[in-house]
Amino acid sequence: MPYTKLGSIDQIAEVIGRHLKEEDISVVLFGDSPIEEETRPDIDMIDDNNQIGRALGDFRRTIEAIPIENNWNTEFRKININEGLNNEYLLNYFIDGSIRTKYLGELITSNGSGGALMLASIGAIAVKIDYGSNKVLPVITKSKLYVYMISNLSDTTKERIKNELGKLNPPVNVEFLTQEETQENIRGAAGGKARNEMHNTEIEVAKVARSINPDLGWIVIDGALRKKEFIELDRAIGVAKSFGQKVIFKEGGTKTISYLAGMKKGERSKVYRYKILSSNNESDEKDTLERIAFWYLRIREPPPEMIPLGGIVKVDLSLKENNEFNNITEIADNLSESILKIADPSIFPRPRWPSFLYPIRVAEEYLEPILYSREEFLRLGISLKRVMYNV
Amino acid sequence: MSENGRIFLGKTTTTNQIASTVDEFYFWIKEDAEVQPYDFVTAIDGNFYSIGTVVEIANYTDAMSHLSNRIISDIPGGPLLDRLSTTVAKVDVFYSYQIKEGKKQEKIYPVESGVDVFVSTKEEILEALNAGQSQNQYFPAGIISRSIGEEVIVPLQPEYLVGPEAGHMNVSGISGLATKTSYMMFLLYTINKKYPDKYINIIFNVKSADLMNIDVKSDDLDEDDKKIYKLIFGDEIFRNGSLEPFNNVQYYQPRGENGNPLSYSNRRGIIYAFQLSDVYQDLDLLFSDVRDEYHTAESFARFVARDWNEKSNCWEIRGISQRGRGNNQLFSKDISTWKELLDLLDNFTDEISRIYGLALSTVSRIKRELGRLTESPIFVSQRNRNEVFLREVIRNSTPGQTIVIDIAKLKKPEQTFVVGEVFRELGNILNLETEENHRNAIIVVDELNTLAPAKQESPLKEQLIEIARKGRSNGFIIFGAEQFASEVDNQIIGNSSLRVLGRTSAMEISSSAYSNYSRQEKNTIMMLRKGEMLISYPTFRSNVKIRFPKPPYKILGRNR
Repeated sequence: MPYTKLGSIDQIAEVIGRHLKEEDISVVLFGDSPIEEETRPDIDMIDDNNQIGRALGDFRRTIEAIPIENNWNTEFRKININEGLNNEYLLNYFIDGSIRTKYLGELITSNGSGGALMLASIGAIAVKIDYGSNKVLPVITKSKLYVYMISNLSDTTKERIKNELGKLNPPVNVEFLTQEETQENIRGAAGGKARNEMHNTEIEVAKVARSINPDLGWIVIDGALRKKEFIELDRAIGVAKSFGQKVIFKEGGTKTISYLAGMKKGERSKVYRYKILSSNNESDEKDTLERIAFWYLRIREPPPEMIPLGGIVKVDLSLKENNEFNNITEIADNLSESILKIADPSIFPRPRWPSFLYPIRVAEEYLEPILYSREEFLRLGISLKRVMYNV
Repeated sequence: MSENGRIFLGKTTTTNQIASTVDEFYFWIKEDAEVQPYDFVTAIDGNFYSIGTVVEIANYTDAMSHLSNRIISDIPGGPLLDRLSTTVAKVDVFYSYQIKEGKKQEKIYPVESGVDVFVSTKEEILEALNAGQSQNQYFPAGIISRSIGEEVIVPLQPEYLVGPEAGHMNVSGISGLATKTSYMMFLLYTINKKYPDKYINIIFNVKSADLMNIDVKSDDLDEDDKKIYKLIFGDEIFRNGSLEPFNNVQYYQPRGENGNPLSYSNRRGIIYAFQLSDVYQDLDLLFSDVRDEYHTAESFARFVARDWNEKSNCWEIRGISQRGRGNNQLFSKDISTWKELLDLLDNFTDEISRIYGLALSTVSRIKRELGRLTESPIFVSQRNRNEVFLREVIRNSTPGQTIVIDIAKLKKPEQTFVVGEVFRELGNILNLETEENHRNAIIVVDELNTLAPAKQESPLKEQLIEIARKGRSNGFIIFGAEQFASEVDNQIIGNSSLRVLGRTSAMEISSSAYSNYSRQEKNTIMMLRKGEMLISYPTFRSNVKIRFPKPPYKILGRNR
């Protein structure tokens, strides 16, 4: 009999349902509502803007970017595609994470205070390019299930739920959010926690991938480098399909991000750094952004009906300790060449296809069955009802 | 190879669009596995086994359109990375069972997704073909070739081929490539080897001298043919290094000019011919291909049979002949030969018209048709003592005997008449049969589309249909063949329990006669090679592709 997640879902429902019942808390289930991620547009871009906002301490401001290359003067630079592979800049591992969160329903106590119950299925994967067979193969996967509860539960109940869910096979994590943390947006708060955990899981996977063969090639993270741990990872780059647009490029004059629309396939921009003033608030985001060099690379021409920045990826590179690269042009050229070489096949006509690197698409395909499906989430609601109300 | 020593092929797969059912499942094929259409595979889910044949193999990639792949081709040198890709096989289930308390029990249930699929063992294939019933007695219908090399005999449960449960075989396919006659003769041979003295074999030789040497050893069997015969019958089948052909065979050839055989064969068999007195009751068969919307020719044939005097062995015509007003005369004629019959119709048209109430034009037409139909030298006034009447031969035949009736050189109406005579005699035997004098016969006849056409009624067709309907319970079995099954009456095809298709043309296969074959099966049928057939049988839940050897007798020319 093939493995399904239904058995473990029933166990989760049993633990949560039993304790809520004991505390006389009822659940108003949301039923067949869509999975949260399906309702939220371009989460990468939102995260990018948030990261910049936190680094600057002001969510309304734009951030300045200054070039760190001065050895060429054209607006964009054509990348030479050489025959054969450059072993020094080989892109070996690709890390991708994904989450599915589901707002299960509201929790209502007997004294009338409210709360919420959310589930998050989190997964991360490392795929590897086997340059011998030209195939993309899975290497490491990790998955986690998180329960997010916002309610005035007693400490004892919280501990018991945490312990019992932690003992399940596979263990289930639970986080109790305070009303202050969630403010008015319960779903957004839990979603943010889940995304943070997804990045943590990506880091775990990336570290394992790096440890498999410490001297081998580069690791590519899907998306921007958001975490300190990514910055510290040796030979890791982030490749983001979508990116924040509140950036001002100080290059002679001032340019907005729309100047990138003129970039042709196979060209890259200059390598930039963010200009962050020491007067800005200290934060993890500020620390991270200060240590990133980045450039833009067009991997495909978008069709006329798409936005002009489609087909452009933003490449994040962690700067060395002294925050300088002597040979940044050579590094950016070689990494860009490696990216261009592995970008195809295209995944047309899937959403955002012009900006996709094919290994990331493969990683997503492998991630799909790792995550809990919509039907499995629904099963939790049904099981919960059965436990709490004997229906 | 998996842990338990079986050859692992892949795992079953179902999606939200494509389900597995009790009749079919899909599995993805692991990269280095060897699978071909019509291989038998077994899905094993704990103690649940589902055995079937691969009917389709398809390769998928994650490209959502051909355009995606077209775009990639614009990249100089092509993309570095291969797409995600998998090859998926569709399987038609033959038999599924579970093992409960050490016993196998049929369980009709779909296979779930993610179940391991293996190459079927020989035992599983036989279980699947026999629907779980062990068979001590079977007819070998050929062999299944498998990708892993080991070949398996396809067993036919006798009661579904030669009665009483079901009976008859129909083979169709294009001329030459389909090897229809060879297959009929191969199966006849295997049945006779299994039951040497049970059946009277009646074979019509319809083209050249194809079947006029079936008791002569073949010099054309290659090693592959011999291997199949050995697999089926064991090494002892090759006595003195060669295969025994049919034995106890008697050949019958039509009478030609000067009493010589009218045949493509140099063989001197027994000559058959027809006197009017032999067949006076069967003139309707002679008119089989004559257009007869108002049944006038049929009426004439009935009048002859009705007024035939068996004592004097002639057609007695008695009546009032009116030649002119009030000039009534008694008309009396006795007719006992074909010549007298034609002379009568020539010279006494008015009398026949009056006595039998036939229009003058009808009598004239019958005269013309009879003249045309009986011009062959097989119609004689008097048979000599070496010439035989075929119905007597059939009547007196005994089990174990093989009768080859050569009709190859006859014209079509004469062929129809000869076949009709044999079937009419079989019909008589069928009607007169008792438990004591029960006999079993297998009749091999080609060109069924001319004998029992779909869109035309004829006495012969009725006779064939009667045998097709009743024969299975009485042990009279037809092995019939034709190029186009769509041109043969549905009752003939429908009553055939074993349906065999050789290579068939695209136009023919698009007709309704093949509507129960899937698209994949139709494609297979169009690409079958010589010696390959697709067979359907009542005990098989799906069709099986088989191979068979060349027949064990001498074949002239390049015919197979």
